[in-house]
Amino acid sequence: MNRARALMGIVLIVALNFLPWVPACAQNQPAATPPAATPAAPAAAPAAAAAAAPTGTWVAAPAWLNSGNNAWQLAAATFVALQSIPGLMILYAGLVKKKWAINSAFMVMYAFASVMVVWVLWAYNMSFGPKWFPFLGQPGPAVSAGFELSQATVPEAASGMPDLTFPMATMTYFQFVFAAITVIILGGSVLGRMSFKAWVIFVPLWMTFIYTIGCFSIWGGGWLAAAGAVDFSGGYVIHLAAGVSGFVAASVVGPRLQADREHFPPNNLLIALAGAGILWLGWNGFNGGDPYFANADAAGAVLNTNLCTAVALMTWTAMDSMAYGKPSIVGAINGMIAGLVGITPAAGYVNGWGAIIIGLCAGIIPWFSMNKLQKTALLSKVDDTLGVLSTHGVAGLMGGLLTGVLADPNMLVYLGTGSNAPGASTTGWAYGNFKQFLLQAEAAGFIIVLNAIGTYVILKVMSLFVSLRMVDSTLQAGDNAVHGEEAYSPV
Amino acid sequence: MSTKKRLFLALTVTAALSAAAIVFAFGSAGGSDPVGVESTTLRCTNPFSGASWDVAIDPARSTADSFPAQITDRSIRWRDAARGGNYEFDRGSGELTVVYASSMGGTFLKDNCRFVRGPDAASG
Repeated sequence: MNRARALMGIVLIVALNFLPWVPACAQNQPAATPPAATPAAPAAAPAAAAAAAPTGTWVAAPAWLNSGNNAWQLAAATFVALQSIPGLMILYAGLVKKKWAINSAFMVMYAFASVMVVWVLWAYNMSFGPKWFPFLGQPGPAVSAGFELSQATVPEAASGMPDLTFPMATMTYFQFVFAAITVIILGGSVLGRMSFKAWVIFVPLWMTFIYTIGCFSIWGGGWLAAAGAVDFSGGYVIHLAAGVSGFVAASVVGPRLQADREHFPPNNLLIALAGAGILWLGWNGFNGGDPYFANADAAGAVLNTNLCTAVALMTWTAMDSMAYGKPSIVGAINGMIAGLVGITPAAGYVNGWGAIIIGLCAGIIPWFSMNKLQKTALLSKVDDTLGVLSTHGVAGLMGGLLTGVLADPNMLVYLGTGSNAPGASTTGWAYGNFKQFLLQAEAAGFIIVLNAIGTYVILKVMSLFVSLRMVDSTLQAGDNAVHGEEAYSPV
Repeated sequence: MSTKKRLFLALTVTAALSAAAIVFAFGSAGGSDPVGVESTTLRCTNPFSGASWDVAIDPARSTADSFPAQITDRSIRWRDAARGGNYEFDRGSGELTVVYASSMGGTFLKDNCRFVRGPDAASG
């Protein structure tokens, strides 16, 4: 009875303490707002009390913050984060041989966490901060209260955009999820044999020395952006980079066991399909978030993304059917990914017809790359586990070049009202601007060379200190030998 | 002096005088400027809002709006060091393209322009 009384007393005290705050919460006021200081206080309050109250008012956000844009940007960032965990985590875990399900999933999860730390401590500012070199920003932390709550800006790229209407914390997180998914995509090339210890070291090094350079050059206001090369959401910065780096990493790390290369059946296609579905719909945030405003171009980018992906998936399936006599669900996943990647650099620059053309190309060119080119004697020496070179590298390159052809000047990313701001758009070769195609080719060349050389050097230096590939006995055992865990209980 | 030597000397002198003439002709006109030395005004119009703005072109100093510019008979190019944009005026089409860096790569703005003052104004 004493216990019951004590409990009732505590409940009563808590309830009484919360009671005065209920009206304030109901009026959407900050919880710490003293009711007497708010203008939302009852109009019948005595005039004397009002006069005695402090002047000023509580507001939820600074004047520059637009809650709609901030909400969309945070939602878009979360969609992209979901593409990594659980999207790619379960896609990889389902597509690999049973004995590698845990290792593949863990590589994704670790990379997501590792990039988060690296990103806020130095890599964000190397990618989007003040210029250090024409291809790199100054390293520095992005963690102080002043930084996180201040109005977002990309100092070297501010002149080409309207003032952003969300805080730096939103910007930092939005760009983090792109950085994380890049190295996670890269990881798809080395599944089933890369030492986990080597992966732990490789991720922060690659993020620091490779990703930041490509990112600043195109997105941070670096030399390629200043020249006019465009990449709406990461066809080059993310997918071409991941495809090239993944292929080089697969070559340097070495192949899986021969038995695994010859027989590597997906252990759970339904799980892989769930991951693929998250990837597809997550792309609405991937491409829809990049105008940085919940505007018309963001909507156009989302629609184009889905249109292109649908066309690519159907084209790839038709190619599979013609070549192998059966439509393959793994092939459909690859076609879906190729379509998503192909439209990424173009999503807000092309119209719907452009998206359909890119979808057709994405269902054909990466298909040939994966099913023919990567099976030639020369390229098949490199064991690119999930064919990242084709579905991301080739598709990203193709999409970037097609952006230089199909970009429609009527797809206005931002509207202009001032004397020298008639509206921002990109004009492709098909609309009379051949120079844009050349700029796209130049940017692609830079990203390819940067990633090929940079990844090779990082892994070669690492190999002096740590073994990049697991030993054969571990490769034969799989997850249990590496992590002491298995995806499926043997009993 | 042998005929060969005379010929060599004559050729050398001719080449030297030609080089000097070329240097004088182009050097005095401000490097690569075939336009003339009189300053001109380029009036650009926003095709969406209709608002106009002027750019002062000074071929003698090779500047546009006081920024260093590359001025040829086909185009005028300059970089706005204050705002960070790269400008290119195509004399043939009359189109001015401004490239700003944005967080998606380049951002392009286009205006329609014509000369309203100076030697280029009459011709177009």
